[in-house]
Amino acid sequence: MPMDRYADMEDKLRILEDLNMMYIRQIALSLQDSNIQKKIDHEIRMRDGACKLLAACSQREQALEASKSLLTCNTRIMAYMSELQRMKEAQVMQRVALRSSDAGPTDDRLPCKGKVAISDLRIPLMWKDTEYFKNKGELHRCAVFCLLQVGAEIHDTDMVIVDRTLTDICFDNTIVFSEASPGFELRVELYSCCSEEDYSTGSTPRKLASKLSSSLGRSAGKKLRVAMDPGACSPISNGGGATLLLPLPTVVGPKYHLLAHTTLSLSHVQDSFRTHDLSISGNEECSHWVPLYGNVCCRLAAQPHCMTQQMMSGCLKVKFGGDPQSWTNVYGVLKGTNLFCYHRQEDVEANIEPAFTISINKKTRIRASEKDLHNKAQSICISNHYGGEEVTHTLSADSREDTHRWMEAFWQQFYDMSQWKQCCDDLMKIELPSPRKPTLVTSKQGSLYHEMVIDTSDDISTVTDILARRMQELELRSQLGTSPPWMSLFEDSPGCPRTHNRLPHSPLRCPRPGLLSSEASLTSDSDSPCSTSPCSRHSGWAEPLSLSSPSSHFRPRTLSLDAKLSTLRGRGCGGVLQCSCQPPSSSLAPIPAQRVPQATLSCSNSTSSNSSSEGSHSPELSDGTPFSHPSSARQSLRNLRAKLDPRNWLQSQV
Amino acid sequence: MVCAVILLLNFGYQTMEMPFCILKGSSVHDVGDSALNVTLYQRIEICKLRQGEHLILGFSIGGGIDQDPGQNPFSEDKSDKGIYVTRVTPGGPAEVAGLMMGDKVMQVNGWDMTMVTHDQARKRLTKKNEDIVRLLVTRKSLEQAVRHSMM
Repeated sequence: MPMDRYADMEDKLRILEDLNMMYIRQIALSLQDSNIQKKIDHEIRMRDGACKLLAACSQREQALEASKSLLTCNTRIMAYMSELQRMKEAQVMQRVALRSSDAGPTDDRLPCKGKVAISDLRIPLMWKDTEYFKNKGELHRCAVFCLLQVGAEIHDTDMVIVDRTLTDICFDNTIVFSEASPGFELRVELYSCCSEEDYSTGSTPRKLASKLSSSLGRSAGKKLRVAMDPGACSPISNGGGATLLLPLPTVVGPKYHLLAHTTLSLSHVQDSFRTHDLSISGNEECSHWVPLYGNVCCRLAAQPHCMTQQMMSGCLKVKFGGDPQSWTNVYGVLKGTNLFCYHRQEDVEANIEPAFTISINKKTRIRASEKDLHNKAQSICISNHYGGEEVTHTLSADSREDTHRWMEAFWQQFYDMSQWKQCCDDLMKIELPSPRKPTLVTSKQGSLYHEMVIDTSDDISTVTDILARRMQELELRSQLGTSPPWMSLFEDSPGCPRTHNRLPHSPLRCPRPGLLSSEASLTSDSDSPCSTSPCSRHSGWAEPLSLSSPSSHFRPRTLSLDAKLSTLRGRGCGGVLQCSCQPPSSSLAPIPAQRVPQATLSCSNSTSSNSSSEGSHSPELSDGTPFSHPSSARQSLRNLRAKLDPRNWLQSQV
Repeated sequence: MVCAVILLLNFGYQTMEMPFCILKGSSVHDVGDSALNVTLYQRIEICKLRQGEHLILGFSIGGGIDQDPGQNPFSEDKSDKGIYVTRVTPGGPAEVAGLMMGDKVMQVNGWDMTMVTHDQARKRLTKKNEDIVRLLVTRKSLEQAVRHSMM
């Protein structure tokens, strides 16, 4: 039954759409503007292509990309249509104005346009710590992308898959809008789509069945509502108020929903990164929900044309100060905040340094002086303050019209600078995006959370774990640079003969001094077998550390913590030897994978050294004396804390 | 050419060796600074004292490769991560044996103490099955005294 209604709606919508297109074409013809018409046609073709691709593709990634293009095309079509309507309205208003008697002079100055670029978008996420650190359950993933719009110009960023191992959504694209007026409004919209549900009509796993049914119900209801209400915009409208409908219900596939939006304008433009607030639509119940922190960081730069292009150029005569005799012939070029005066016109192309430069900025005062006694033409006086001194240049053009044009150019420049405000202080750098798309790097984005673990329980093991990881990083970092001076001494420690050559910078041989002392203090304070052979100590610690080494990039971090807790609580350090020393799965990206072989290598090294250590003392670590009595444990905890505090210079009573 | 000079002195019931010095260099007669390396040691034998169920030596140590050497008040070279004697209990076995505050402990019963962690050092001094520890220490005043006498 509902399918019939859909089919019905579909037909009606198609008819409406065809009518709309005819209307649009009429408007375009009347405006004699074929540009927008071409763009609309192009977008409609793209949209049809995206729909076909969506119906045909089988892979989730492809479907997401196709759906993204579909949404972008739709938004662009809407924008162009709104633009057309606006132009039509403007034309009508103009005609009305002309007909009426009090049409004022339309010599309002228009500010120059400029380039606006937004880059390095970063949206921080705010995961619930329970969800994040426990790292249990399936990884709920969402596909997100941003849509950026200035006027009728719409660009989209690449799509990013977000799951709970990410701390920020980063978009690397640089998007440049070439013709923006100073009053521009850059609308940033974040769309997201749940990347797990299966929209195909095939068999769905039982687990997702309930989720699927509820979400279909929601979107199906929405579609119905849209279809019933001819005045409403489609769910993906850009709020432009267009009264045109687009046929959507038949599109099967992942659907993006608006998650957050914000609008940036000239006041947000700065040559550095800034944080802006996001308005979030949607809540946790939505399938497409991603917990946003509420901000977006980006770099919004603007290059007004008055700063980058030559606004005026021509031959001039310049006089310095009040000396009537020293007229110099120059070729002047007004660009940005300067009037460059070259000796000859050819110097401009030849990139030769100008003879001199007169700055034209907010503080400059320009006035047209009265007729000189000597010249008939008016001259222009430019006054600047250079370091407390007032310097005046007098310009004179060849003819009256030229002088007038120069004055006009100066006024326009001042007006532009007043409109573009902070963008005219200095030229902001805009990097043009490289034409070819860089290959997608599939490595996981680094997660800050993994480096900042502060566990809830103030347990010894967490402290040692943190320390282990820190030491590890120090190790691995030191391999690239210079290692701490005492590292080399472990190569030839006289107390521990080596039977084979070790790597010069074997990463896990630093015996984790704090760790070792802590572990030893946990077992017993004067445990002689443990203290006599430093080599054997290494073997005990190689395994858990190798577990934690790749953990900064992947789930095993929690595994190591759990392992640590269980072994340390249960059986003292004896249990530590039994931790399996397995490298994590192969899905690690190249960089962390480098750590893994080293970890395993050191493991094997140290286990072999275990057997080769001094014979006079048993290299036993697994005597596993558990915690003696609570008081000594508490004391050892205190000792441990004191020992691990790097500010202390410990002293022990013997 | 290495020569060792040891002076023995009998001092009561304890044998105390005068500081001996090991001269390394091309020739003893060559008094150029670059050719002469002088390191002075003193052997100190401490008998542990039983107090209850603990054996104590009567001094405190500081330092170690895991410690911040910049905070060592006794070391001349602030990057020296060796073990230093930071306190000597008055009347304790260490004081009796001649250990002084500021001494740098080089060896304990043959075990090296120049490149150990703080805890390793402590353990080597507090072994339950040992009643006597023989320390090899060096002292700034020793070096200065000999140097003055040699000049």
